[in-house]
Amino acid sequence: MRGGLAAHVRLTRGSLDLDVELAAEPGEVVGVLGPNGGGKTTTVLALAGVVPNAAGRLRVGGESWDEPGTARPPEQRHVGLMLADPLLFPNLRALDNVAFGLRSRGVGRAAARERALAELARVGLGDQADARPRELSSGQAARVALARALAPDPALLLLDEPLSALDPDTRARTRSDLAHRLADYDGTTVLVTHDPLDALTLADRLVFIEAGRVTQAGTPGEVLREPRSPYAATVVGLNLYAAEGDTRGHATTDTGTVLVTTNPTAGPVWVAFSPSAVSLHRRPPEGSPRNSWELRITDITLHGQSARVGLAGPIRLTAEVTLESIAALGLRVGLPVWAAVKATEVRTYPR
Amino acid sequence: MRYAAGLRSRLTLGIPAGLALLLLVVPLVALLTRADWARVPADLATPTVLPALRLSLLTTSTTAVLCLLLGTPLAWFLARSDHAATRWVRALLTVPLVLPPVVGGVALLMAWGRLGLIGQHLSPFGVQITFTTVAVVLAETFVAMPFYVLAVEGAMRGLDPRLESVARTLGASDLRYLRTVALPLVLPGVASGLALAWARALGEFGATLTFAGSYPGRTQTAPLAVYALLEQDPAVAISVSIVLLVVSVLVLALLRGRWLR
Amino acid sequence: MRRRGRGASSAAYGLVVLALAACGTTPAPAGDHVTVLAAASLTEAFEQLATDFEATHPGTSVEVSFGSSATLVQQVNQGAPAEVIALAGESAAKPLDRAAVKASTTFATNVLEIAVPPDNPAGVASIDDLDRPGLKVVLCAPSVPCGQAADATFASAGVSPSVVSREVDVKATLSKVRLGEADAAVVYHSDVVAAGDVVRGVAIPAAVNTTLRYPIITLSDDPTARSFVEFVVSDRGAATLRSLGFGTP
Repeated sequence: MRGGLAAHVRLTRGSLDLDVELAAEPGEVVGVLGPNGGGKTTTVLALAGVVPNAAGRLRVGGESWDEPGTARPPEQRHVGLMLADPLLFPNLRALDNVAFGLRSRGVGRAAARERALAELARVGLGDQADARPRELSSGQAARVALARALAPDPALLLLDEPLSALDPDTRARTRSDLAHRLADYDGTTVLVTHDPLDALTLADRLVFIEAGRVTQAGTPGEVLREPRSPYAATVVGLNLYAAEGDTRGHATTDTGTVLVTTNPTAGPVWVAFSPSAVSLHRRPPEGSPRNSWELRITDITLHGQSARVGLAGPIRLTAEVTLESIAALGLRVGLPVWAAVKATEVRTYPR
Repeated sequence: MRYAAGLRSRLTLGIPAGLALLLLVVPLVALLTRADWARVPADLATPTVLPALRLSLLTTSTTAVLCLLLGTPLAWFLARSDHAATRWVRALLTVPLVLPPVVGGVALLMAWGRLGLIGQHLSPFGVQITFTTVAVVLAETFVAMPFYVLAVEGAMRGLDPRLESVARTLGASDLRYLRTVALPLVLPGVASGLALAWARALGEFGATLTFAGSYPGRTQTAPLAVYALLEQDPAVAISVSIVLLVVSVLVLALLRGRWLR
Repeated sequence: MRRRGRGASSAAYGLVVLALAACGTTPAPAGDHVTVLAAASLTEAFEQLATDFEATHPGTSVEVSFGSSATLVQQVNQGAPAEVIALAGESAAKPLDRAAVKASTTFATNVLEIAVPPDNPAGVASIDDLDRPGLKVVLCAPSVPCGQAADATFASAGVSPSVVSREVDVKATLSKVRLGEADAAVVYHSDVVAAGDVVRGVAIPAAVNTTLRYPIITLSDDPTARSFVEFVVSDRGAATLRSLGFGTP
């Protein structure tokens, strides 16, 4: 029923020079990812109207909220804002926190109460209406903050790392509550996150913002297949290099390493392969692999039954190996090893 | 050796510290011991004292209300602004804190007196501020308001500014945020600011005497009565002083116990 | 380093102690120095008399401190170091500790007068005008001589003035007229004379006026104190007092 989001955020703040375009359909969740200081939070605050969007534009639900020279103040936009810190009003009960936006917009006391109670029930906190914020657990507080942001039924919901302050258990449960609640919400959601899992499970579209610019925008599937920045590659867990490809199956990285691939693309390309495609050896490997380098182990991290091994040398890459191979090969930080990747595992796509 | 050095440094600090304490405490103790407690109630009921106490109560309460109504918004603007001018305003606010009260009285005369900056425009309407209870309230507000504003501004600066951002995205105007969230959260600061301002207003002497004059029931507040009585009937003056001392201590105890900790 | 630091801090304490001691001690009663306390209404007269005395008695110095008579008497009773005290009216001397008084003599008289601003905006022409409602009349506090005298004068004139303030002393009373805040003040004739052009005097008829007889009281056997009192009551002293609006006995 509503129009979607069409935003152009352009401003400078301190050393940050931000120039970002965002677009989304009603009901869509846009996941915004990127390194710290890249402009994610500033983008959200500019959409909320808390930070002036100096030279930008913003249209939401068919209405103009922001043109150069005429910006609506936050209280005249129809946004819901939720930050990592739930920032509940400490002096108000949970119910009054949730009813706050409705009362501000002129809804009568009884009606606001009723709507707020329903909103609390939707996040599973119908029994905590009279609780003071300090009596709530961190997960409960986050859900009250979500209910508060959504109670006035905003056209644009802004979530800035809503789960990052929670411990892992609470985060998992709150993430599923959030997913349920967002499924019912017909406005546009902008979700800033650090967590690939948040991005992949909650977002319909992903936007990467790095150093004030969009480096990639697309569906989670597109990003998973073809990440277009080192940061995006880290999020989806791929080894990625900017390279120059030729038609015979060679791609030369910026650092001069030549990778061999069975699906060549000519011109400026991204070269990607999965960490699980990397095999590690104590001696130079024999047989088919055409890509092999002698590297040194820089770090080893465990993920359940597998381990990620960081390697550096002529090329930096991450390998994923089983715990058995860690033990069998006697891998440890500082050890020189041979890493090999089959040419069939190396994909190239245009930059 | 170490122990001896420790003892010496403890004495080096302890003796001046003790002297400082004596300087502050002895006059209060002297006042308390000189008082004839049995006659205090009768003294307070005398025709000079009763109107003075009543007037002090009236003017200090009015001052407190003025601080609340006018000082709170000022504190609000000061707390939210990072503008360079804000620093000047704040510096200006502290001037009445350190100004000799008599000078404050002269300044008030220059502003509100019959020939003063503002006063000269009031005279044609037959309005004269000096020698009225209004003048007493103005003098008390002049010296007390800075205490209030600085206390409340400090409390407001302690608020998380993001709370206001959230409130605004929820459609709240400045006024609504102030009323429903900010003020309730800074209530302890407001209360201690009010208590400080009230106590300062109660003790106001110099500016009142200079600006408002001294007339029983109209401008002669309790401290002015103490001063006048000291020449006529020192025993009654001591009784009134006792009352003022006890009230000040009560305010302080209230602040300590409830808000300052 | 540490030794020097300690030396510096004990030097600082020494200074503080010295300063405290200095505050507490009065200048030794050297034979050629007189401390005089005088009523506020005597300000101009005694400043002149002190200067003249020092000029005619080389090597002497006179220090005069002014205040309301009531305050000065309180100060003497509390042990203030003064050799001579001059008060506005005999009744002001009553609370003075008798034991301290060595000699007392009347040296001047003064009468009340109405002081109004030069342009006399309220048009005060006589004492009878002072009961007009809305008029701002300032008097001395009832505890000081000029206040008591004013009350007595109004009683005998049968006038109830519209009083807005009762000030701590006669100079504070007059200043309210000088500042333009009050329409009229009842002060001493000598104050109106001393103020010059900045106020105008409106005489009060002798029939209802109160005459104050100013005593000068010697509180010490010090010869310089005696000779200062002698100077005040001398013909030259009397001439100075008369030139400043006082009467002399």
